[in-house]
Amino acid sequence: MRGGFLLTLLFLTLLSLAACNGQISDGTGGSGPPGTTVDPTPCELCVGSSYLLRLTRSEYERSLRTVLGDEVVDPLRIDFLPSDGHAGPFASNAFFDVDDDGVEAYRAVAESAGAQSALHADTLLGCDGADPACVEGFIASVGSQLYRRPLLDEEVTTYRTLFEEYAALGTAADGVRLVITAMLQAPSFLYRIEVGLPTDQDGVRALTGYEVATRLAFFFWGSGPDARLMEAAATGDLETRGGIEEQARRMLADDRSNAMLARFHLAWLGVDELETKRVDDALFPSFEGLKFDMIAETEAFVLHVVRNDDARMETLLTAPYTFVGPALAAHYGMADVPPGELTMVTTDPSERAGVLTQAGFIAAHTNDPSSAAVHRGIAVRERFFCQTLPPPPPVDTIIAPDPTLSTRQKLEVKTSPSACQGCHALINPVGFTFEHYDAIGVYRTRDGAHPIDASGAAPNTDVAGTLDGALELSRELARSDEVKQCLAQQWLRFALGRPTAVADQSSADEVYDAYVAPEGDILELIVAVATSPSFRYRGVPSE
Amino acid sequence: MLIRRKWTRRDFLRAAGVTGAAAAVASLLPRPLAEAATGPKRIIFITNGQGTDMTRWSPSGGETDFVLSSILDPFEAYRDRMLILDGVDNEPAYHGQAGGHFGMSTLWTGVPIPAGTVREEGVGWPQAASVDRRIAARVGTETRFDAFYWGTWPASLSGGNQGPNGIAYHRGPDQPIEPELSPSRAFDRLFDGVTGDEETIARLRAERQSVLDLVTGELTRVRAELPAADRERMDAHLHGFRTLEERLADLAPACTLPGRSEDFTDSAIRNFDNHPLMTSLQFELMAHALACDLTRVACFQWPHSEGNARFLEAEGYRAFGSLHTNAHQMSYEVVGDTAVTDSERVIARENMGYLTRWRSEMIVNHLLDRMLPDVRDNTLVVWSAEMSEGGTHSNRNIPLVMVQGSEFGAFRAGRYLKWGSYDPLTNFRAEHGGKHMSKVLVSLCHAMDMPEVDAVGDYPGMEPGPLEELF
Repeated sequence: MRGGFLLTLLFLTLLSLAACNGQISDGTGGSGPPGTTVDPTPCELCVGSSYLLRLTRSEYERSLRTVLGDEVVDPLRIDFLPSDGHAGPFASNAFFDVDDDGVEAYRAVAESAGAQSALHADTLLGCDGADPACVEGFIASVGSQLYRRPLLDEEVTTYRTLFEEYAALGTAADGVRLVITAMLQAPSFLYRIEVGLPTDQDGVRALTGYEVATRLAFFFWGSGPDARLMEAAATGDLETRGGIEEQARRMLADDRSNAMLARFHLAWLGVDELETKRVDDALFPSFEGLKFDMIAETEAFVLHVVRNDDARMETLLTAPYTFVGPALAAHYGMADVPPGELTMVTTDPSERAGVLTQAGFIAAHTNDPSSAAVHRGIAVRERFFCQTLPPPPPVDTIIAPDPTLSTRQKLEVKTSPSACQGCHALINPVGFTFEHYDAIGVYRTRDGAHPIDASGAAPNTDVAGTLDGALELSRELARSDEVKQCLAQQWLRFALGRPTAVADQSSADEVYDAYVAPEGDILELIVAVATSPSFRYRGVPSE
Repeated sequence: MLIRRKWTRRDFLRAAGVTGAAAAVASLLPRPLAEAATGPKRIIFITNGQGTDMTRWSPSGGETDFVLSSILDPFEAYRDRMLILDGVDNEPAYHGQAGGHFGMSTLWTGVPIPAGTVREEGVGWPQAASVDRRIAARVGTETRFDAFYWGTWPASLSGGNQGPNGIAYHRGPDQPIEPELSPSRAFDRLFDGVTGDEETIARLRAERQSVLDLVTGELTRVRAELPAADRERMDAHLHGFRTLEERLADLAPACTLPGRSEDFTDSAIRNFDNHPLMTSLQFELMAHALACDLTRVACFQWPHSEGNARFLEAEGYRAFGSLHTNAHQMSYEVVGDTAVTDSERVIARENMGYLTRWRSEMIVNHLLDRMLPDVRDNTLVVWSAEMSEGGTHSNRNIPLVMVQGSEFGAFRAGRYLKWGSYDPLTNFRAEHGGKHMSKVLVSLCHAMDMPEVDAVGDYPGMEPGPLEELF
């Protein structure tokens, strides 16, 4: 090897000064995905633009389960479908056109689903497949559930012709097979088609009853509308705000919304990223065996706060309890708990309270222990303050800090150049409050030979002064008005499957007001999302 | 994109010059192997993330009397067919949203990474197609797949921390291409509808045509009601339907079908213990796909560095002290980012070398050596990383290797070309007089008989034209 290596090499991985202004993001920055442009013209009915949504993998799978049953869906390889894109932290295919490979993948899964459906053809038909009325009934029923609207007469006829052609070549099961195979490749199934009706506001269309029903169904239950939603759509109930609110409350009260509550929080907090997360398993050999327990902990905790406690974000951030199984209890150094269902336990208030101090959040936002504070700091700014930070600047030199320093001190040295400080002055102090937790969330009082220094701050936010540790950070976030405003934005993004734009501000305000009016109630916030203009209307992107 | 009249099955058969049930059967008649497997040029792109150890990558000696380095010496049997380019810069990574992290998406596109919302740092996808797409549009029209994309986990759009740092090939603006990670699924896609007895195949094709007719008709009707922005999305979907329709008409490959690998679960595909196996299976399938003339543009991507991918002994890893087994961390240790001892730093660098040597071995043993000789003779293999060394995040002097088949006849092979004053230890970042990758991209198009291509990519200071020294 030539020349040895340089002891004074420098290295900057981190973030640049440029654009680190700490502004609340409205999702309109840069040359980002379409649908985030701001309409310069004044509007009475202000709604951000939304693009055609293709079903996410989870929406696809849930729709099939609802309509065709678990026995048809269980053998399918849903993972063959194209990966989902994202709108912020939330899965969404708002910005990805499907490509040829994706269309081919949809065919492959549709053919498998068709073949599986044929095995259960009698159940799906529910009548004699030789009877034309039976076939039409089957097509109309399955078709309206998959298309999320009644089929047109000509569509029923087309599918009946397909059914009869292949039933004649084989059996009624072949007819079922071809109909399901075709429906699952149809744009009306794969896309959430929203044509809407014109309004007085240029570029804003009122969603039809079936389109609203579809938004409600995917928002609350993650799949197509149930019979009552379809009925409400048919009777015109969903054309009024009151009718929508009634359905929203019904669906939210149903346990089927629990999966939505879990999905939102796991994605908002980034805990869902643990599913594919790897850490260095030589250093943290227990992580692979624990990561799904970590996800389960946060999920159980969130559901308890929202369903069985006071449904306040403040409680999410500060509750002195959590839910663990035996492995996670040991991980946390808690007393043993029985296996099986997770056990609700009180946390040591000097170590843990609230979701930010759970292992899931911490592990999800740690890649390399040496830069843990950076990722944790960014996560808080992004997810709780809706701020965005630019990527780090190019590396010019390499700094090799004194190896005897603490992890925190080394990071301070590495990010000390002025080119780094623009962002790192905002990021590091937030991230440093998590110093008491190692890469997989174990509480520690020392970092090697060094005592932990978890002092920090949250500059450029409404959290003033200094902070000591993630517990104090959590308490301050719980008090922050900016965090509540961001929470409203995040729920809107989740429900709409797209970033929010300036034009969505009036909807965000409604959602925020609904949360704070009763001193904080996430359930009221969710209902307000469903009744907001951004949810009931569609902004049509300009050409 | 214009919407054409819906093709009926009858149109389709007429176009194929056959009618009735004979169509599907006739299509299965084998073609002479010679016609199928020789003649046309093929190109293989291979990309790996996180660079290498450049001190062990560069050959010694001069342009023609060079001696392969310890990383590249598995290529010894192909030495005289090689072009080793030492001094090419992945320049667009220094424009746009920079920082060294996103060179994977600039490497083959030649465009900078824009601002956007793909990742938390506010970066987007490149706003251009990669060069493989341009070549595929020209040479891919006669094959079942205009190009095919293989990879190993986590070269994927799913999972955290993914984005323009993780995807090498792009169909167009905001259209990253997700490589196929499952060897069995790749097999099914490649040989889809051409395995089984003739009657089964004929029936499957007829069924698929029926379904395509139906859903294409529906798409056309739905599309007409939609706002313009939505129609573009429908057009992309329609393009997929057309492609599937064209593939139905394809003749069966006149080749020996390879064995199909077992069905790996998603978690098996993502298990790093399986990474050497996945790599070998994917390369061997690639060799078969080329032999069967299913595609003439074959692209492969080893993952980028962010997956905390574990580095195995099977891939050359030598444990030492507290060194990371994680390729990402290891590359930092090379430059002393973390508090490792001097001797550990030396070992970390050696390990980066072993890892790249393992990659060389995989390419030679599982791809080049497995290719039919007359296919290989007409193939150009291009292998690069997006950085020179991961620890420095330097996109200068990327490790770029080509192997040109003996009948390919584009470049003057058997040469080691060195430009600029890059030094991995002291001068890894500054402008050093290297050549820009964009000129290599143009050269690849010329090599694929596309002399009209004058520029691939777009960034300030980009110069058009090929890299003349290659020819």
